[in-house]
Parts: sequence; structure tokens; C-alpha cells
Amino acid sequence: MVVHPINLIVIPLLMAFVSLFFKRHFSMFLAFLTSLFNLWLIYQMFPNVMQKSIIVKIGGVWSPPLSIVLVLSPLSLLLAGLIAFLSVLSSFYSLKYISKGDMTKYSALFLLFLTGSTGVVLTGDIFNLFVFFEILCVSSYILVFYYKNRESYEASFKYLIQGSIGSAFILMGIALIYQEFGTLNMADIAKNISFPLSFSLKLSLAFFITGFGVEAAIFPLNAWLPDAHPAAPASISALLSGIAIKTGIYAIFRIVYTVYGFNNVFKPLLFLGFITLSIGELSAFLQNDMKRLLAYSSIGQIGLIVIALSLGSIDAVQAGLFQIVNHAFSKGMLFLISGYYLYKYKTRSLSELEKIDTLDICIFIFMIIGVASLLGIPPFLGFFSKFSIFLALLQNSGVIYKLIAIGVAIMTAIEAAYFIRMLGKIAYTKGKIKMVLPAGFERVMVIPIFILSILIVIGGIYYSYYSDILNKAALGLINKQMYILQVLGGI
Amino acid sequence: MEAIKVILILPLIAAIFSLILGKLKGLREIVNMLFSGWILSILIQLYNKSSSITIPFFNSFGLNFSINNFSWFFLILINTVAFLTLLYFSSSENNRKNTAFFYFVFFLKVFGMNAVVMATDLLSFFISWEIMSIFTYFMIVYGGKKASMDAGRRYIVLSILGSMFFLIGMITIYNNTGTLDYMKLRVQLSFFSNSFLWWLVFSLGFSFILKSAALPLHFWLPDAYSKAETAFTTFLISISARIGIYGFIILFYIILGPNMDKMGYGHFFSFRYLMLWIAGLTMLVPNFLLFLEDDAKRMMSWSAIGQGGYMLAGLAIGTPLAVAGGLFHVVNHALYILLILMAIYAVEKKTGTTNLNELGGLIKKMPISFLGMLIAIIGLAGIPPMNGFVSKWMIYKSLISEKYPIIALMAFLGTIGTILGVYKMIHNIYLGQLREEHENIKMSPSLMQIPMIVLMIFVWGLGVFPGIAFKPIVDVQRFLGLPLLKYNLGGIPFEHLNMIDINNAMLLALVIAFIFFLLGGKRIHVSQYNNYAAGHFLDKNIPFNYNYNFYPSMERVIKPFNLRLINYLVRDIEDWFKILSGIIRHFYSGHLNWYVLSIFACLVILLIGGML
Repeated sequence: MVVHPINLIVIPLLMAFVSLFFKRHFSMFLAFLTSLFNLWLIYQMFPNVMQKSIIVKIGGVWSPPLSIVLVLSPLSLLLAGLIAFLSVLSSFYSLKYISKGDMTKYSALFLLFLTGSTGVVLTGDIFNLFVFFEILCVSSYILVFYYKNRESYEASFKYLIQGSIGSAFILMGIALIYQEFGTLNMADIAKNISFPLSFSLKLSLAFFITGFGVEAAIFPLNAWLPDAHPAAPASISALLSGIAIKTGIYAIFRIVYTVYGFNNVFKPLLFLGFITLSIGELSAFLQNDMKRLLAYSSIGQIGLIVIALSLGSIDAVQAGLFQIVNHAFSKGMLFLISGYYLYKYKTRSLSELEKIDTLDICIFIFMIIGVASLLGIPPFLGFFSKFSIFLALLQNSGVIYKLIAIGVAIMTAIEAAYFIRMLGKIAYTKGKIKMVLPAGFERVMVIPIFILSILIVIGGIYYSYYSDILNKAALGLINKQMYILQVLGGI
Repeated sequence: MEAIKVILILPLIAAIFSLILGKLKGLREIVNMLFSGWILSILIQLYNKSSSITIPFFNSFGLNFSINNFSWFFLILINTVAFLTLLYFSSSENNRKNTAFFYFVFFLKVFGMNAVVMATDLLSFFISWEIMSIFTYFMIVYGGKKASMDAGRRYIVLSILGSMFFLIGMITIYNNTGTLDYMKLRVQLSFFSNSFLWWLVFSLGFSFILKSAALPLHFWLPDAYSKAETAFTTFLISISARIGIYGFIILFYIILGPNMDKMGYGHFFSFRYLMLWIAGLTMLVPNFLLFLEDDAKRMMSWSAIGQGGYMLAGLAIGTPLAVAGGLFHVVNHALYILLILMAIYAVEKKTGTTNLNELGGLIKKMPISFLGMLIAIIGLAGIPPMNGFVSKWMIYKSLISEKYPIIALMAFLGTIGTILGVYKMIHNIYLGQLREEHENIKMSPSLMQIPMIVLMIFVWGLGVFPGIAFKPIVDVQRFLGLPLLKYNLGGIPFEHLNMIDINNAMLLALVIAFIFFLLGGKRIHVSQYNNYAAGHFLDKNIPFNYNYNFYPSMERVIKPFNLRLINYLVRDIEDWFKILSGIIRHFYSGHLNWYVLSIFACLVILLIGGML
């Protein structure tokens, strides 16, 4: 019974407590092994899930509307796979990178983070969604505070306050739903919701979007992000940027499309997405702090993802998921690289990095790949996702979509401006360039970066091998009836 | 293996080889030249043959490349320039910082350009275009100087903006017609309205205007190109800027085709006339900024912008004479600008500067380079019997006969600016008094002189026998489905242009003048230092060079026209973005109460705006 879906959540949770009994690097290694186990498990289950979604009942013999369920659809498994994969790389990276502080607690929290994020994407119960979300958020609040310095304290505290308000909103949304229908099963709620929406349902939707939007870093709700991402250790920044905000996005769109059943362009989020994109890119424009720049850029990319997902057509959602994958890889890699620079040169200020007259040539090449992918330059992964997004965006006829497309183009140019400035400052040397390669155990940190860069380079070319997964995942997100049928059976 | 695959792959292999052979001086140069020559020799055999290839890519999209008469014309041009550049710049001893990377960038750039001209659908065009742009960026920043990095950043940002617009345009086309193939598009687009065509022209044309540096998107070029290393400047100015012209051909005659005449109302409010105005301003403005520059490379960068205007004008008019003139000007410009920059590099290598104020009197020290530059600037200025005259004449003639008098005036005025500029350049470098610090200069090695002599023959030869170049140009016209130019070896009989006669007459005049010169009285040989100024004898110790502030009165005349307006505007726009960014960042002020408030505000806005 090793290959059982429940182990995806149970084993990391268990290991989170077990790891407290191990010391320093052993506990970190345990975190690595557990993430690896999760990845292996997902790999084992993927073929079955692609055939037919698996529904797991927890705690009892009752059938879905009454019992708590895990829904293993292609979408949840895709995201869970992404989470497990990035966790593997990040925990491997931390083996070298996290060299001070309380490593045991780090790994315990890391595993709780894994539990929470995996739970969010797998669960089919709206209250469990909240619970897993809280596990994810609380562990990330503390992980941001890992270095225990002034900056991380401030960032963590602000994150905590805003995140708690968000969580409270989610809880209110759930309460409203429960008052209306007396059920917490998402499929059951979905079955009961019908248009036009009553006021309390609209209110609860607003609560959900605002509440999950805090974690998803949509514009007026993302003020915690530019503080929290730079303050956290780089391995955690990569996860926060690659996974945490994506789970917020997932939750929002799961509720908007699958539970509420919107099947058209969801305009409020489309506009919010565009504003998020503009604000993020413009804020990054003059940034001198490398990690803060990447954090702002994450806001921008989230905006792009929200634009794509809120278009509501299957192509658009597929493109949005594709962009999620691309952003997780590229931004995760860039955060890991920023950690490498921080580790090696003890600074993340670009004007400081400019003064250094050595160039880590292989890291720099990976960095170019990551940046090019984020900008959407062929033949890297990001080009394909951006291409798909434009393809889906311009399928809608209407001036507004053309304007958004032009806006995205201009924002991409701004993104290019600051990323090229960043690359230029890192590459610039006054005298002759001295090229260096990572030495000794620094190579441990380079391996995850290398793997991600390989995926970014070849990812686009082998698109046809996984386009089916993305397609089914997108279908699973926007097709409400299919979801109800899968979870509740033919009721 | 098919020839087309070889053409595509060889530059990539060469790029990899140049990395492998990084430190082996001598061998790497020979290998690189062999690769470049190999590509060129295959291309020469491919004349009038066609082959195509499809590479599966993404979803249902494939990458289609083909060699036909049209792409062959540009391929041979690109690869000839690449070969000559390599030949010249490899044979000169240099102390570059990172030669492996130099050749790597060079070959990948060549790869990108080859792929651009071989592409037969918009997607493959776009992807090759992006590869090309990125390696253009690397060419610009290769030296690692701060100024070149800033210029390069501006270039790449604009380039990415252009590509995004291109992507939008391309996807609009795909969503509406279901195809990206050039040939199918022309048929499909005839079913669409004018506004759709304008949207398409805007989104695709932005990139082309940017890359060919036509007004008003020309401002990036002088900084970017002149601050690159001279070898790269040479390649960039002579052919890379012309890829935008290739884009215009694609847009005008392949995608739009006959639909082009549909756009606009009448003669004066048409798409054609708009493009001609862009071309006219491009001919006029940069050529009047050209002679105010003090740096030879920068001067030639401005000239590259200005000459692009002539090509664009030729293409926009659309008569067989004009299109052939535009295409011929691409060839001519590549050849003589290559020659000029080779001469400039020869000077730069010996003296260490391209600043015109710090040079002078090098004619006796570097006669071949002087002769090369003389022939080349005669071509650039459009004076017979060099090649530039023929193409410019064809464009003037078409402008007048197709009733665009204002544009024709702009073209003439632009040429005057060019003449002033190139005269200043050759004067300040080669004529006048030799500077003391340059007294020990020797001639360049003969390996460097071979490409220059070859190019001199090309420049003059194409001036005397333009028919040689008209053959492939007419093939291009045939491929594009345009009416064909009637030509013979010496020129265009229909328009009474016979370059052989003109050349003979000029040679005859030269011979007669020489006879008079021989018959003339006693000649005194005067040393370069034997100068007078204001009645005073200036001996060797008094440096006297009339270089600095060469055209003060012209400067005064053109100053009120504020020709650099766009450069200032762009700087303003950049500042606006900085200010905007500064304002927006205030949202992340650090005050937690505002953050909390904004969460509640979002909830309220969602409720009011979106839900109710």
C-alpha cells in the first residue's frame, strides 16, 4: 500500500515530526528523501490518473457528499508533481545552502510546507482546503523568519498579519457557503450553485478571491510579497515564488471555475491580473536588490498567469497552466541563482555585484536562460507559454483584448529592461573578465539550477509529450459538470 | 544531406568549433574562414535552384525554411559580407579579450540572419528573428564597455517590444486565417477589411521599422553600432541593419501583395505614401546629422540609417525600376560600407582611435586604405561611376516619374548631407598635415589589403556593369510576382542609362586631364608639413589641422530644425517610466495599516465593481 494517494500528504506530515528527532544535515536529508518519495509516488500514479481521476475517501465508509475526499485529477497531480519536484530541488539545494540556524526546524517546516501545498491541490473539501492552506501559510511565515534578523522579522510579521486577514476572509467565505447549502464538499457545493448567484454567494466569492488572493499575490493584496521573498532563504524564496503563490492561484480558479461554474471570461480577475502585471513590472524597473527585483517580477508574472486563466477558454487555461510551469521553473531557478550569489559574494545588491570582477560563467549562462524564458524568447520554455497565452488572448474578438495584448507587450519590454540591466550589472567588470567555475561543495547548489535550466531549454521542444496533461488539467479546471460527476458519481 | 540543411547547420557547427578552438590562435581563424567560405561556395552552386525543409516544432506548427531565388539573393549577400569581414578581421592581429566568444557570437548571428531570410512562414521568421536580435545584442555589448552596454540594453528592450508586437500581429493573423505561410496569407488577406490590414501593418511593421532604423525608431542605432567593436560594427552596419528592409519586402510584396494598394484613399493618403514619407524623413534627417559627428564609426552609423531610407523608398514605390533600385542599393551599401569600415579599422588599428579630430594626413602612410575609402565614399555619395550612383539614380528616377516630388527633394538633400559628411571623413583622416604621433605608422599587412582590393573591384565593377547584379535582382522580382526590370550589362536601356558609356567618358576625361597635367608647367613637390595659414609659415612643430568644428556654418543652419528631437523625446519617455516606477513603488511603502486597508478595499471593490 505504498502507492496510495493518501501517502502524498501523510508521509510528509509524519516526516515533519520525525525530522525533529534528527540533527542538522540528517533532518535536511530526510526532507530531501521525503520530497523525492512524493515525486516518485506521483510518477507512479500519473498513468492511472490520466485515464481516470482517483477519488479517495478519508475516514469512513460514507460516499463523497458526507465524507472527506481527495481528488486526484490531472490538474491536482500536475501541480502536486510540480510542488514535489521543486521541493526535491530546493531541499537538495538547501543541503549546502542552509549552513547556519536551526536546520532541524527548517526541515520540519519545509515538510509541513510540502504537506500543506500538496494538500491544497489534492483536497476535494473546501474546509480541508482552508486547513491545508493554513498549514502552508503558517509554515511559510516561519520560514521567512528563518534568519531571525530585523529584515526577516519585519517581513514575516507583515506576511503574518496580511495572511491571517486573508485566512479569516476564506473562513468567512466558507461559513457563508455552509450556511447556504450545509455542505463543505466542493463537488456538492458546485452541484447546488446555480446562476444567478444570490447575494451571500457573491459575497462569499468576493471573500474567497480576496482571501486566496493574498497568497496568490494579486495586486492590492500582494504587499507582503516584496518583503517576504527577499527575506527568506533563497531555497524558500524559490518555493514561495514557484509554489506558494501558485496554490493561491489554483484555489481561486478552482473556486471560480469548478465550484461556481463561471464559464466565460471572468472580467474582474482579468483586470486585476493586468493591473498586477503592470504594477509588478513597473515596481521592479528601478530595483537594485536582486531578490527584491525577482520578487516584483514574480508579481508581474502572476499577473500574466491570472490574465491567461481568467479568460476561461480551454486554450487560455491551458496556456495559463503552462505559464505556471514555466514560471515555477524559471523563477525558481533565478531565486536559487540569487542564493548562489548571496552565498558566494555575501550581497544581493546589484551595484555591489557590479564591482565584483569575476564572472561565474556557467551560473551566468543559466541565468541568461532563465531570464530569456521569463521574457518569452525562443527557443526556451517561456516562449511557448507566452505564445499560447497570446494565442488564447487574441482568440477573443474585442478591442479590450488587443489593448491587453499591447499592454502585455509593453510590460514585457519593461521586464526586459530591468532583467537586462541585472544581467549587465552582474557581467560587467572594469578590467579583464576573470571567469570562474563553482568549486567544491558549491556544486551541490549548481545541480538543481542545472536541472531546471535543462528543463527550460528542452521543455518547449518536447511540448507534444506533455501537452495532453496540460489539456486534461485545463479541462478538469473549467468543466464543472465533469468534476461533479467524478466526485459524486452518477448522482 | 540536402544543401539547405547544410546551410542551416554549418554556422552552428562553426560556432561550436570556435568555442572548442578558443585558445588556439591561427588555427581557429583558418577553421572559421574555411567554414564561412564553405557556406559561400555551397551557396554559389545553389543559384537558381530551390529546396525546402520542414522541421516539426510545436503543436501543429512547423518551421519551414527554403532556398529560392529570393532568399538566395539575401543569403549570398549576408554570407559574402560575413566571409569578407572574417577574412579581414581575422587576418589582422588583434588583442581581443575573448576571441572564442567573438567568433561564437559572429557565427550565431550569421545563423540567425540566414534563417530569417530562409524562413517561409511567419513563425520560423519570428524565431530566427529573435535569435538574430539576441546575438545582435551580444555583438553590441561584446566589448563590455559601459556605454556599449547601455546602448545594447536600449536596443534589446526595443527589439523585444518589437518582437512582442510582431507576435501579437502574427497570432492575430493565425487566429483569423488559420495559416502563417507567406504564400497562403496573401490570398487569405484579400478577404479582410482595411482596418485589419492596418492593424497588421502596425504590429508587424514596428519591428521592421525598428530593425531597419527608419524614422522615428532610428535613435538606438548610432549609439549601439558605433560603440561595438569595429569588426562587429562593420558587420552590423553593412548587412544587419538591412534585415529590416528584408522584412519590408516580406510585408509589402509577400504578405500584403496586391492588398497594399487597397489601403488608404487615393494617391496622397495611402499606405504607400506613408511609407514614402517615413523613407523620405529617413533619407533627410540622419544625413544631416551625419556631418556633425566627430567619430568615423558613429558617422557611418548615421549614414547606415540614412541609406536605409533610399532602400525603403525604392521598395515602397513598387515599380520594377524602383524595387530593383532598392534591392540594388542594399547590395551596394553592403559593399561600400564594408570597404569604408575596413579602411577605418585599418586606421584605428594603427592609431588607436576613430575620432576624426585626432587624425589627419595619413594618405602617404596608408595609400591602399585611402584609395579604398575614396572609391567607397564616391559610391556612398552616389557619384558615377561607382555602384551607389546606379541604385540612387534608379530611386531618384522612380520618385520623379511616379510623382513624388517632395520625397525626391528629400532624397537629393539627403545626398548632399552624405557628401558633406564623407568629405569631412576622408579629409580629416587622410588629408592635411600628418600628426607627429603618427609618423611611424606602417601599412597594414597585405592579408588585410586583399579584401579591400576585392571590394574596390566590386564597388567599381558593379558601377560599370550593374547588369551583373540585375540578374539575381530580376530573379527576386520574378519570385515576388512583380513586373520585371529590363536591363542589359551596362544598365537600363529603357531609361537610357548606360554605365559603360558613362565610365568610358569619365575615364577619357581623366586621361585628358592627365595629359594636360603632364603637359603643364614645372611641378614643385611640397612636403605635408609645408603649410601656410593667414600668411604665416607653419613649420613641422606647429600642429595645424583643420579638423575640429568642420562645418560651423552648416551647423548653425540646421540647428533650428532640431533634428535630434526624437532622441530627446525618447530620453524623456525613459524618464517618465522611471518616475512612474517611482510613484508605483510607493504602494509598497512598508506601512502595514495601508496594506491591511488595501485588502479590505479590494474586497469592497470586488463586491461593488465585479459582483453586483
